[in-house]
Amino acid sequence: MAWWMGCSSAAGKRYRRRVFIAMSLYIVILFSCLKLVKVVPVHGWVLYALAMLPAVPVLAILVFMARYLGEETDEYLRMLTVRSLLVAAGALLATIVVNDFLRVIAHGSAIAPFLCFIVFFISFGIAQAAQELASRGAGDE
Amino acid sequence: MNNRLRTLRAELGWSQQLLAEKLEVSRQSVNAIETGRYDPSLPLAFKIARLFGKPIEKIFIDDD
Repeated sequence: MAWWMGCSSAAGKRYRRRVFIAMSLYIVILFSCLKLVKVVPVHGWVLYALAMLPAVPVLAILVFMARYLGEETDEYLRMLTVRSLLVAAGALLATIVVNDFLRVIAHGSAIAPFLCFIVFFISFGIAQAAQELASRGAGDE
Repeated sequence: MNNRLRTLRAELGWSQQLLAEKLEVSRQSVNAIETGRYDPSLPLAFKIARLFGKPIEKIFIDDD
């Protein structure tokens, strides 16, 4: 995926390496926490800490995105990423608004709140792919 | 904004990749500038002008 976060730049490579590590840690932490809570009777602040632990690598990805924008020296790739982030933010806000109206008026929730993050990342990926497709072939050598 | 980047590059026999390396940007950036999908910032425009040894206005043409 040549379009993914400035694939051809050093900053893009660093971003992907960081995200790969964060996602690997997320999987390990998530399943470890789920298993631990099931096997060992934990409560109080330990339970809260365990519940919040899987969110750490996910939130770290947001920090990595910000770092990428700071480190990317290619202004065009940076602009593409910012544009994709705006699309993702729009999709996220639209999802939240629709979901909240469903919750308030119809007394039902269409999606679980933590899925908003997945909506954000999928929208971001689609926006990146769409920009790549739009530019593919135009003047390529 | 129109530009003569493709013509100037072709005169020197450079590929998009080679120009991108000389400008320290991605090949996608060179392609986007050449096709008019992206107008470079002033620092990048000056860098391009320096590389080709021409004034900015000889490379980037204001449509207005």
